[in-house]
Amino acid sequence: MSDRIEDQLRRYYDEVVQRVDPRAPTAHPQSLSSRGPRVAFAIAVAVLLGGLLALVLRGRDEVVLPAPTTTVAPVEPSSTSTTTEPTVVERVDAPWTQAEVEPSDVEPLLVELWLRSEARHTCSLLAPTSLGPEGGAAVPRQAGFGPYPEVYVAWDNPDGPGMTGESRLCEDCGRSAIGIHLRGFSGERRLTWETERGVTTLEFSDGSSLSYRMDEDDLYQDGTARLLGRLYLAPEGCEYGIWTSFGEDHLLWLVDQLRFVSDHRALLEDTEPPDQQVIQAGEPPWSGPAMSRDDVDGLLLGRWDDYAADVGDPERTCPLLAFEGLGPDLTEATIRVANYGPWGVAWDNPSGPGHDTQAYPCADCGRGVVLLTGGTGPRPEMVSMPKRIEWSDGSYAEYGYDRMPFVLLPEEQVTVPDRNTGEPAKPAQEAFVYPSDHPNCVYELWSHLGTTHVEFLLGQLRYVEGAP
Amino acid sequence: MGPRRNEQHQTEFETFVRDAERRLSYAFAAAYGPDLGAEATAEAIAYAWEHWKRLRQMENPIGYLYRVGQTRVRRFRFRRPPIAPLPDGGVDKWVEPRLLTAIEALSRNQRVAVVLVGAYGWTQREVADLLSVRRTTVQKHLERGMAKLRKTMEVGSSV
Repeated sequence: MSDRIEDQLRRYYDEVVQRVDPRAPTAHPQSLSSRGPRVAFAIAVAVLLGGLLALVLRGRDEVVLPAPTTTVAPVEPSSTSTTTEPTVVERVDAPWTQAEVEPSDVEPLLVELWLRSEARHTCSLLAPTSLGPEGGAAVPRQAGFGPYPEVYVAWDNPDGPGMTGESRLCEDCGRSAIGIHLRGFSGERRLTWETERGVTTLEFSDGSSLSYRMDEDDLYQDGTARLLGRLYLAPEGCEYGIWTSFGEDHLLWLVDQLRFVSDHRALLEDTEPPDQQVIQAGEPPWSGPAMSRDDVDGLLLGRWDDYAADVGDPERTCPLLAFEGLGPDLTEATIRVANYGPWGVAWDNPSGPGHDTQAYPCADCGRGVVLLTGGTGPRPEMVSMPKRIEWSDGSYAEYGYDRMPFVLLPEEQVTVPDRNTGEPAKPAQEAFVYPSDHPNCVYELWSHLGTTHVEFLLGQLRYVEGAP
Repeated sequence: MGPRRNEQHQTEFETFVRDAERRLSYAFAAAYGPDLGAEATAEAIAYAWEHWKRLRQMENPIGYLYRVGQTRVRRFRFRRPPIAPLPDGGVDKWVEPRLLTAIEALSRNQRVAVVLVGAYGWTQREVADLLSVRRTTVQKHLERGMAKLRKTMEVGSSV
């Protein structure tokens, strides 16, 4: 019984696989790279011939770009390309050199988020005037995590292709089908792909460039995937992410619709943040003894563990902050995974305010009444929210705005009708927390129960034993 | 399409399927166990036969077929056959019984990584192509999967 685990696994699966495929030879399928030069040569020849054959078969079947106002050279579809070199296409006119448009011509949420972003100070507002027929029924929402250093909007498209709550592609759930992400000023093009395989690059007359490729992490059943684009806007030195679930033609359509918004600078002058109300407090709630792991929901621990180990924080830079309690109104709330932030969890309540699956407030659905997540991230350099708690150790939290799509309005002014019942419903109030002992970390929470409950939740934050 | 073209496609297909079927059978055995693994392999190969013209132009046809198999076995989601059952002839005397329990405790992708990379020497890149994920993701699945196996079987690192 002293065989290595790997040897035991091989012995076991040599037997098992005979039940899967009785024709399978007992010799296991070794790595391609270990089969010797003859096989490698044969494969290389086959790939070469296959590529040539594919090119011949494809013949004149060129992609016609839906770009009525610009001159565009044909693009080889990257999904079937067998080359490892990027495809570069020159494009004569940059769409954004055309006439600017009014703020009312573009998605209001993009305007509002831009006004709240730090990027607004360095990057003009560039927005699509249309999403095309693919975006006809799409509903925008604020995407991404963090205190608005960037502009991040995703469109959910009911019943169409998109992503599930587990970030897997789906044919008919429609989440995050289309999106735009203003990453901010970079000075020079910084966004590059790890590999140039399958990347197509369009170069514009003003020096800007768009690189795009299929999202290789996941495929739709028909073999297509989300198209991810990275736009570098040369005149301003700003970078954008742009994506669509509707293929290459639609991505290029979106780019072709991008225009600068005419009086966005004036908008900026008119909408500087309000004076901030600062509340001085004592020691931060998490300065006391850490919570026992036994007192923290296993799902939350698992989410944080998985994020720290698998995704974005292998060094465990940011410890877990958890709520000691949610308050008397939420004793029956149940926790679930939230597809938001690095390790988001949300609590659903049997009744009461919350939001629907497209983040639209509801009066009595109780979904996502509270959320908690966190991770590494920048701290805003400027005042961006109406309220701020400052603790004695230098930690602070900012809050006082509701979540999309009703940003920039004081809480008391925001009430919207529930889409199903017509009852008045409140958007969530959110808060960002910046502990002084972990300067690279930011935590986000929200509550649909109002600012008072947000302040209560801030007081419930505790570190957890063993995390880190 | 002329007879010569048909013949060429047929030969290409047979060459492709010989390799694909063998690879997929190991991958699906690791992912789903022998029962659902057999279903997934059969479904994937049937799809390859029906859609060879399209499949042959893909960069990663085996990865695509893996997704096809995954999708098709979702039909059997209410069936829960064991992922690591005792083989028909009983456990090989060199395989510790605890291994089967440990295999069941792994996530699907961890199982695929430890079986294909750890046991059969596929490269992480090959498994990444199969699962349509990044190589570093496979590396993480492998490390975490092996760590879990070792912990369950209470043995030290064999690396």
